[in-house]
Amino acid sequence: MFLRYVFLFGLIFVTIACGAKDPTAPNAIVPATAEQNPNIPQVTINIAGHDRAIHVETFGNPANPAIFVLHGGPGSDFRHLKSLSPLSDNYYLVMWDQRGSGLSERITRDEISFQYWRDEFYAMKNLYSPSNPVGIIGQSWGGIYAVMIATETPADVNKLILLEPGYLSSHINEQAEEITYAIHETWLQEMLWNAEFLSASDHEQLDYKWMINFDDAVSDYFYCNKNHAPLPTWRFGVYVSYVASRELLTDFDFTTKITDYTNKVLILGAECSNLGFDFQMKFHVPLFTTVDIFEVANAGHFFMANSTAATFAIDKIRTYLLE
Amino acid sequence: MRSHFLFLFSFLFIVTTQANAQVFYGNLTPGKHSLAMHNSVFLAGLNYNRRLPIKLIQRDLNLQAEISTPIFLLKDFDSWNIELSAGVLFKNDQVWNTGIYLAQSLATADNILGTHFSTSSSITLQPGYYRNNWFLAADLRLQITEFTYIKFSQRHHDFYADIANTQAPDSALLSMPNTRLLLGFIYGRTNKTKTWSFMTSGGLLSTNQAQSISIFPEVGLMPFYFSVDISRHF
Repeated sequence: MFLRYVFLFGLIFVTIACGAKDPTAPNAIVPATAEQNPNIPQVTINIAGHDRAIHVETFGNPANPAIFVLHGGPGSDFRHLKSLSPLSDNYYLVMWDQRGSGLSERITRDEISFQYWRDEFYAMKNLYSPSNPVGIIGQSWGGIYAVMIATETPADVNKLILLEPGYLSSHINEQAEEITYAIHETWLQEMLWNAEFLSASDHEQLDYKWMINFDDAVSDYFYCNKNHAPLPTWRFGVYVSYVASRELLTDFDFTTKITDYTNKVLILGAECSNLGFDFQMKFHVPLFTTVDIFEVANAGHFFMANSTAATFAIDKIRTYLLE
Repeated sequence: MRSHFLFLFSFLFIVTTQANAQVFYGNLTPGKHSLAMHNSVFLAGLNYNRRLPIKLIQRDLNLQAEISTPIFLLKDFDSWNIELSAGVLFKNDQVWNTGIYLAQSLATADNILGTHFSTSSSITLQPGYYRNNWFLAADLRLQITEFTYIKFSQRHHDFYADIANTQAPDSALLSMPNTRLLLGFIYGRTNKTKTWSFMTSGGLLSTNQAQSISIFPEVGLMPFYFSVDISRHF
């Protein structure tokens, strides 16, 4: 009798095993990345000795002035920033998911550094605007990234637009109200019931787990209302986010050469955000030589996902770009 | 012959709380925006236990159903979890003894991206000192999750939108081998009438965090596991 049950259980087990997929297979639990899915618009760049597939989209006429759009995170994607595309009537917009982020190829620890982000920016510039300076629109982490580029090579950046930029030095972070992404923490990952079956032992499961939790994890910091619409996103690159937040963004300062950038800067800060208008007024506005700042009312950190706020922002950006 | 067929029926009500309180408090209370979340996970369960008719070695068949409450206010984490398990406990009648519990479980949980079902096998060794109304033993458990089935939600489908020629799967049967090791101690006690029992255990839990991509190479075990079970036998 006992052996009969053992045999039956074994048969069921083998049957299931034969039909089960590997969670790392493309599109199994999260959308595939560019090197796995040829349908994704992409280019390949070589950074830190590695060829990496970058998910990229362009909007507008390449003959127009180029504006590069840098998304947040690190680790996020540009999906909610596609609402900037109306600017493509007069500008050539280039949006990409940074290495290890969104739908771009995942990377290893030795490919994550500020220097390699610089290299990535210039690799993209060589492809899309090799001869002329570009404008940059940077959101959140993308704002930090944009300031890093603009202050080190001011001649390459003719316009600098910062949408809720993250803190520009770890010193500012220490003074400001802390934002903690506890979802990165091992104990929290293990404590969740989904740890019973999601081990976060590879990029796919790790990204999937983050996407379960992301909206709730940041609701208190970045939204007016906890019952907000979910953020339009494809996939979050948790590994690059983890390394950056733990090892790189804890000790850095991009304010030391900020006065080297003498062009006017545009900052937009939201009403409902820890990195919003009040934060920007207090910590970032005093740093720049010339700056315009506007508050985006009734919106949070990801205000470009809100159509009313996006319309307001695009209007301000157009005015700034024409100056 | 009759002694070979000793039956014991018991229904246990189990309340387990995992002691995560201090850990949550320290990490999820940033500045003024503290997340006033419930910081424990509660389990309630029914346990059916039957002593199998074996003369020399005590073999208890154990069928258990557990339900955990959601982590409140973080609705997307895991809204609920139900776990059914069946196992066999082997233990003879010596004072110094080793309890061996083999179990197979089916767990289901729900979150914003979908509904999950997973199968797991576990083996628990509890070597220790067993007296009539109490015991103290080491608690060593290895759990291996074999398969996971996910029925994806609309929110999950939304992630795939805007990606050319790419369809979101409606569901997936996945081979996601997830191994967890628990090392700790367990203490149990029953009253004289064996109507109530109390059991507490605690120790270290292994982590499976992204070891293959070296996120947490330094983390193998964490001081995490703690539970209290209060049972009423009927």
